[in-house]
Amino acid sequence: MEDRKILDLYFARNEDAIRETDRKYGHYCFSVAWHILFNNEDSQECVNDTWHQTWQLIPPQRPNRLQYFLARITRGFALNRLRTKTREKRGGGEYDAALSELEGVLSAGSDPAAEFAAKELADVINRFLKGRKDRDRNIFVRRYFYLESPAEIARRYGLSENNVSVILSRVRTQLKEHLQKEGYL
Amino acid sequence: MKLSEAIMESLNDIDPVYLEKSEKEYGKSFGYRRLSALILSAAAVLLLFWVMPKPAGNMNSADHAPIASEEMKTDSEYDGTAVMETAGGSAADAGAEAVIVIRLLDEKGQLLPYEEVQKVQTVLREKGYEAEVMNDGSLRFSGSEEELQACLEETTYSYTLEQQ
Repeated sequence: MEDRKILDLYFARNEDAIRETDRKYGHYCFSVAWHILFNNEDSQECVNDTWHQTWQLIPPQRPNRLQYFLARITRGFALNRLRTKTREKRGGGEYDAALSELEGVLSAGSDPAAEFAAKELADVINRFLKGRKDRDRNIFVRRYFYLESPAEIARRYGLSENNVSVILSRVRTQLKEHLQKEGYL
Repeated sequence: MKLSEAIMESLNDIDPVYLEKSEKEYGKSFGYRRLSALILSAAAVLLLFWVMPKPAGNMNSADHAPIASEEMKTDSEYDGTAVMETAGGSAADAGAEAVIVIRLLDEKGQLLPYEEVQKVQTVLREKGYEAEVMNDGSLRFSGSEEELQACLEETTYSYTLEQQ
């Protein structure tokens, strides 16, 4: 079913909207959650939470791109769930790996005691991504939004894993420079 | 929240356009670009050979290493010497039919291996033409280009003209 029709179902408060969303984007959202949580049960719960949240948000919202609207919700739930779990026990798979990659570059300039608000950073990150070459930006997004491993990204874009790692390293350095200009470091 | 964590969090508010763009799997198109580049390079090399001044006069003796001539003689079921003479001198002088020298290419535009050229030689001979695989992998064909094209029609091979 086309996104437009699915959205119409939401606006009509027809519960088929959730069934159709699940049919079309269930696997995709599960994949987004799974790359963060590495756990089937938790990932499925995130997907269910996503459907519930979507039902709350539409209407009044009418997203232009339903798929990525859902992805952002799922990712948010998955990160929250991961934080809860990692308080109990470390080991968040690709999330921890990605986080440590960023820390490796950013920790040198940042104040360990400083607290940062994600909402304020969103615009900065969007501006940073806007200035990147398509390929570099796509690789960055696959790594740090979708938390795909360098091997998966390499397969997706027909590059070598080493090439992906080199590109990621370069983009992280550029991010650091960008954050320095913006006064975050 | 540490900066790195805040960045990971802030990515949740990323512009959906970037998510959409990142979905594109362009492994195939990268491969296609590589293939295109390869084909273009091959075409450029062929063009270079095409526009280079061709050696005037005969192809016999001094132009070829003795071993090449020997190879042609031993490989031939026909009168290789006669073929060479026809090709080497002017066709009109010899009073013989035209001889062309070609290099066979596969469907990817790459030179056909020697063994494959030999198979084509066999096919051409079965069709009643004189054909000879040279030591360097080129093929001498005693006939017109139209006849050659007709013979190769059933295959996926193409060719470049070395000498006419």
